[in-house]
Amino acid sequence: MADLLYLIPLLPLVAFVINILWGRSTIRGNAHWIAIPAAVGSWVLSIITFREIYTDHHAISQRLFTWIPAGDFNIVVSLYADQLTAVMLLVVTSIGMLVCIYSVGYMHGEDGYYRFYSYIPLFIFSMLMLVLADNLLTLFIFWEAVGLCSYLLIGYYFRRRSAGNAAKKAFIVNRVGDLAFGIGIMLTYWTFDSIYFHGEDGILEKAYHFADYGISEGTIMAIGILLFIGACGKSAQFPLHIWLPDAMEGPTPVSALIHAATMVTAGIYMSARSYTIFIGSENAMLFVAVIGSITAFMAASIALTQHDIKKVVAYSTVSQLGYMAFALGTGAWVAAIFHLMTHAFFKGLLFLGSGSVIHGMHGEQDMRKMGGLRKHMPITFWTFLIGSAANAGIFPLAGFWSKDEIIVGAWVSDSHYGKVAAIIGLCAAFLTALYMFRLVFLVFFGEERFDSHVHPHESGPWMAVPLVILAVASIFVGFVGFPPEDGAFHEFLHHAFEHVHGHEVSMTMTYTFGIVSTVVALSGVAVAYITYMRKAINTDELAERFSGIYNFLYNKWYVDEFFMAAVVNPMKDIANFLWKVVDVRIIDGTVNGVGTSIVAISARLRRVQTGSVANYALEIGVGMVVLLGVFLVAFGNLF
Amino acid sequence: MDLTTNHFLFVSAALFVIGMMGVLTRRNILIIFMCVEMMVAAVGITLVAFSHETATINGQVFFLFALAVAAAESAVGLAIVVALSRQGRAPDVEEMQTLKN
Repeated sequence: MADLLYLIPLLPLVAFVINILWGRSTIRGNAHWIAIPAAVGSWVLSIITFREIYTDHHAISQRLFTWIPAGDFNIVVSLYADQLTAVMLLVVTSIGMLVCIYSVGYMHGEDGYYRFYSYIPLFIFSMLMLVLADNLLTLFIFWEAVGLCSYLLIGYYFRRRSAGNAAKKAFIVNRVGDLAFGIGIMLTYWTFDSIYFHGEDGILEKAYHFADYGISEGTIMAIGILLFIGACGKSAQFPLHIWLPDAMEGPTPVSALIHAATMVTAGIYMSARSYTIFIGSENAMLFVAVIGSITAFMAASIALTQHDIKKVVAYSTVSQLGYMAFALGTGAWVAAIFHLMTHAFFKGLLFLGSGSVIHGMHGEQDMRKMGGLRKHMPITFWTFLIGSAANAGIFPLAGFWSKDEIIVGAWVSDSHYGKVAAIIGLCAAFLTALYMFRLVFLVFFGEERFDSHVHPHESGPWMAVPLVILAVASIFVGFVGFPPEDGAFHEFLHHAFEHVHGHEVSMTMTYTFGIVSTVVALSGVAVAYITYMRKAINTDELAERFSGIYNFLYNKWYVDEFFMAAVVNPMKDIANFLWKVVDVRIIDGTVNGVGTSIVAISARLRRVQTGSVANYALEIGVGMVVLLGVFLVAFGNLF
Repeated sequence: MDLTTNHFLFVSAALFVIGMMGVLTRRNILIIFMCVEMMVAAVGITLVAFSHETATINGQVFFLFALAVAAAESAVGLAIVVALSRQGRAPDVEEMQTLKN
């Protein structure tokens, strides 16, 4: 199998090339027949790879080619699959495959159908290369490539101005993180003299024994923080999360694949991949934990007040990414990846489910104009309910196991911040259950608030089948992490984090936290039920009374406004200054000034040309006399 | 008083300056032509004088060539004068100012 590793990313790449070259002219509406087999092929190969790694307990790698041979600096592009990569491979190819299938129904008859089925395989290819990369530089290249795919797909409906703007915003906000990431990579190479993760001289080994190599802890901290700022951009951590909710302008399957399940977890993956750097510096860990917990709480609170169904799910994604980040920051590496995996399934399900709702409602996204859809779209309802319960962390669905483990992991960690993070995590868990079931009750229950001419309908089998598969996965995928802290998943992934020495977690603590988080989640559901089903609490009145808090949440903590005031507007002012003063006045002024002064001087000089032969002759004579005089004075001693 | 090279050079300089003043001050092309020829002759005297002084033949040979060129040049110049008079225009340099500015 090791020889066939290259086929996993190659298949989607081939699908991309075929669709982009011939999609427009010949393939057109059949583009999915190219993309789906490629995705399925990658999925099958990923399973085979996973099995091999699972049975043999060691990583497999395949050398492809030497990319940059420059003296001592050699970049070899190789594929490397260890346990962590194997999990990511399964996640990416499973969700990718299901999204490809689902989109046949969802994207049917859209303009540029072939474009969709070109970019999706390109994305799958890039994402697979990202997780298969064995050094930071190739990882960075494909990190940018997935960003490009995200840009292309957010701007899929490029005729809509808001979609174009959202695509640009995603790209530009990611640049901020990528700048830090790029500097981090340079600093890594400068410090460790290597950009390869593994091996004797790899950065993981060197970072773990950094003191032996005479590397200061400050450097390790700087690298860790820089890499994590890069992860913040891609994984939508506070304050760089602002692009993700706007990215919902893209088609919903794209939101499911790229902006929920896979690409946004690239930052988490990258941080987990370079975990020894974080282990080396407590401060870097603290930074990660603080940012992660802020993100988890902030996004959950914003999700409470949004009316757009996709925005709620998007903020939920940001919040769950925050959970993963603070799991990284409190040293719960396996828990972070576990949550990454379960989240991919249930959040993919939620996005595809909301896509199904939007499809059935003929493009309506405002939850205030939905309601009572349970009867009209039963499959969507039941699968969505399972996804919501999983996201809310209700026993025994997937989200429960991973989220619980993150909170326990934070509680028992060495960090002083761990207990704070655990409590913030529990608060966010309450909010998660609340906003998730607010969404469910508003959309699927209650009276039908849509216009009479809207006739909601259940989606066809292309869309329904992936929903059911993901719902089943959302129920069962959590059990790979059973019993908590000691499940098959931990046993498997432990090999990828060999330098991590976990804490013993007593059974009492596990059960206590299990019960606490279940109670928290159920009370969230109960509050949602009382508020939105029983209408015991008038939400409008509540918003009126606490208008300060409500507006703060409704306006998304004013983060966008902060960036407008602190970054965008000053940038515009600087640009205006450079344009109107520096460019127009100084640069253009200089160029035009040279021109006009030459014209003015020439206007005087041309009067020399009198046209009178006598004058010319006089000038010749005078010139000759002057020259003779000069020669006599200069070389007089020669004569 | 013997004739020395200096005498020839003085004559040559005088002729040259007279010719040059003529070129600069006169308006009639024919006069100017004659003055130019005078300047060429003045330079010729110098060449021959130095040739005699250094007892080499180079200067005299050079002057013979210069004389031939001067003859050709005056032929071209006189042709221009003829062409002008055929058009009924006066041979006056002040009238010919098409190169002005």
